[in-house]
Amino acid sequence: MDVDIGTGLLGIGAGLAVGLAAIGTGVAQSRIGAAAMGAVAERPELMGRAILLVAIPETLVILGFAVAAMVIVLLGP
Amino acid sequence: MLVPMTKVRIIGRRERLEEVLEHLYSLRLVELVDVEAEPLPAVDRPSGSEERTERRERLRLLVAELDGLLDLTGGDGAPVAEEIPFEPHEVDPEGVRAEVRALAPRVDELTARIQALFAEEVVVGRYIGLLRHLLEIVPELRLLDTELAALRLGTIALVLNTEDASVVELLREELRGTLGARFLLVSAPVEGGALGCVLIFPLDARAEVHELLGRQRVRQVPLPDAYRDLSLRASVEAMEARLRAHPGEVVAARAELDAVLGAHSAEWSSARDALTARLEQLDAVRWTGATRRAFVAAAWVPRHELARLGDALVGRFGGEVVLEEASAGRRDTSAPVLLRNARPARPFEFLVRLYDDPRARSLDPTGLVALFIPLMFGLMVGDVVYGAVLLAVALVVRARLGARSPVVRDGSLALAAGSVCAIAFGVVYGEALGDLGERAFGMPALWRHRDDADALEPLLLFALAIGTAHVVLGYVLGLWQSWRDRYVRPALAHVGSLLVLAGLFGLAAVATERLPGAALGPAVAVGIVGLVLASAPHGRLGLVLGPLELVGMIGNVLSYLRLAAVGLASVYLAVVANELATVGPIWMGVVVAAFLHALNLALAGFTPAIQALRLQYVEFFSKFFVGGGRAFRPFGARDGSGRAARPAPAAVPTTPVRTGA
Repeated sequence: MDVDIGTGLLGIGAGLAVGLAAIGTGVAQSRIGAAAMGAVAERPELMGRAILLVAIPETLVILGFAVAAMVIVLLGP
Repeated sequence: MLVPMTKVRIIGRRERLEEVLEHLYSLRLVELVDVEAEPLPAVDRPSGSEERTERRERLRLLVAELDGLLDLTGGDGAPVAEEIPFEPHEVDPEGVRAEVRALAPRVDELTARIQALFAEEVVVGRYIGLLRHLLEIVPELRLLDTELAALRLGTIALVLNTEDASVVELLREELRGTLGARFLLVSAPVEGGALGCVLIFPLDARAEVHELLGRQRVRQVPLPDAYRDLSLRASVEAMEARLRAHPGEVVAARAELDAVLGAHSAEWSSARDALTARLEQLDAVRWTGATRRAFVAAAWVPRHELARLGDALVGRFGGEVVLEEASAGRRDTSAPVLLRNARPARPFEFLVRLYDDPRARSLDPTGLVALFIPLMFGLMVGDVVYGAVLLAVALVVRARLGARSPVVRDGSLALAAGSVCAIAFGVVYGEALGDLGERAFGMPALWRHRDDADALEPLLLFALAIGTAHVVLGYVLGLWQSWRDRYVRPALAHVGSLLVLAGLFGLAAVATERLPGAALGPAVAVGIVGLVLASAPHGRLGLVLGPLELVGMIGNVLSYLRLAAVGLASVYLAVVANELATVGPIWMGVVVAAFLHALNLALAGFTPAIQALRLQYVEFFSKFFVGGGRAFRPFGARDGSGRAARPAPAAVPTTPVRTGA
């Protein structure tokens, strides 16, 4: 499959949008997750809240995905 | 939905109090409330408290004794049964107590014997290793044991807490000063950085030797009494014999104990349950109040059970007990909550409770959760084969483990519902193991294949459409709840949020030319009005919180893009698995594809469930859900651990209540 340089750069850009957002999410989740699991160990009834807190930063990677999708859909070949 | 609860007062003749509590316990219809905080005329605690306290403590002691005995049986020491068979009159506490006391000496003797055997095993095990090592220092001792006795020579094992061999020489000099040449002292390093020594000396000089060792603070190896008069070799042999005999003696003692207890364990288990029930009823007396002739108890009861409760009390006590509905109960948000949903939605109640119990008189979102979670799960997995495998797993788990835990049972049913949706969306997307169905069998898609290049945009729009519907529904529910409770500001804020969303989508429609340019002005106007309404309840802070609210709303809707993102990740992993299957030898391709599909399946069972749950908790519940509720725990019922229901936290008292004598 022949890919021109422009398409390749779009792909790299889309990948960076998702990848960097995922790194940010991972860093945030690692800290929140450790604290949340500590809280759950003390009070197991907080499990629902813990899932919620751990899941909150995932919006970052979803926004990264949205940007990547816009790059591909709006600017792609 | 939340079952409407009502607060009742049960009033009757004072001497019937315990009978009434016993009857309420067996009915399991009410949750008792401490009357101390109830707006009642002055009432005392029921009298006879000393006699009742003594009876309660005697029962508590007996239950503890039974627990201890049942623990000894190993198998029947489980917590009190979740549902206690209520046959209180069939258990005579004095009879049980007499039986326990009669058997207690024998049980104590056997348990003491077993403990002594274990203690001996530990002690002998600790000594024998050291003694064997010391015996190796003078191997002749093993051969000359009888000769040493005939020559009236004794042996002592010593441990010097040093690795310095010169200390042995110093000890030898001291011994020479006392015994002359009539001794033999040999040493060798032992474990723990110490020196082990064996001293052979004439028995008639035993006193001098012990005095010298004591003076020099040399630590002897103190043997247990049973071995103290034996020689070193004889001690080792005796200890080895004990260790060989030990397991058999433990088994015999344990068998005898089991025989003594086994004959009674079922009977005691039943008695323990019934006595625990009686104890809980006596405890509940403290939550009631009394006047000179009457008692009063307060309780929450599901409204639909009110008539049954009244009939049960009248049927048992006639006119001696009166049931009175407290007028404040209907709107009291301190009421406990009882969820009752249609059968298909019931397995999802635990997912709501995992977040929080809804507060009394608020909305129970279980029905909507039961609709949206399987839908979103299926939308993300969207594969006929994956869905079928997950369905099979859910049904097997339900059949094999469902009886053990309500959470496992409900969780497996929720997974089964999601799996059915995954199969349905698999048909919509035309997917079976990714694109394998299409490749091998030409499986058509009812809508479109997700791995097609032109599927991305429609999938994203579809996810956003579902997100918009979900978020708008959340705001509408919040608006309805605020309106119903006459909370004007939150209602205005919800209206404002809905208008902001309408304005944003108007702008998006104009930008994508789905609406004419003339709609731009009205869309902006609607958005601004909405933003003002959403910010106004916050006062001046609204200037800051309003824009943040706007960003949050956009983020909430965009968050539903994960429905497409997770699904695309799943289908592309499946496509990669299928592609790799065609590279290299067929057997290797099958192995690699099977591995990747198994990995994808494991992810499909976990990730979409978490994401669907997150969308409910964060994006949906935040619009209307009011938590902080307290689950209804009927008097006489138990939680999974066997703990009994405690009195409900009291509402704020409006009338002081006199307590005590």
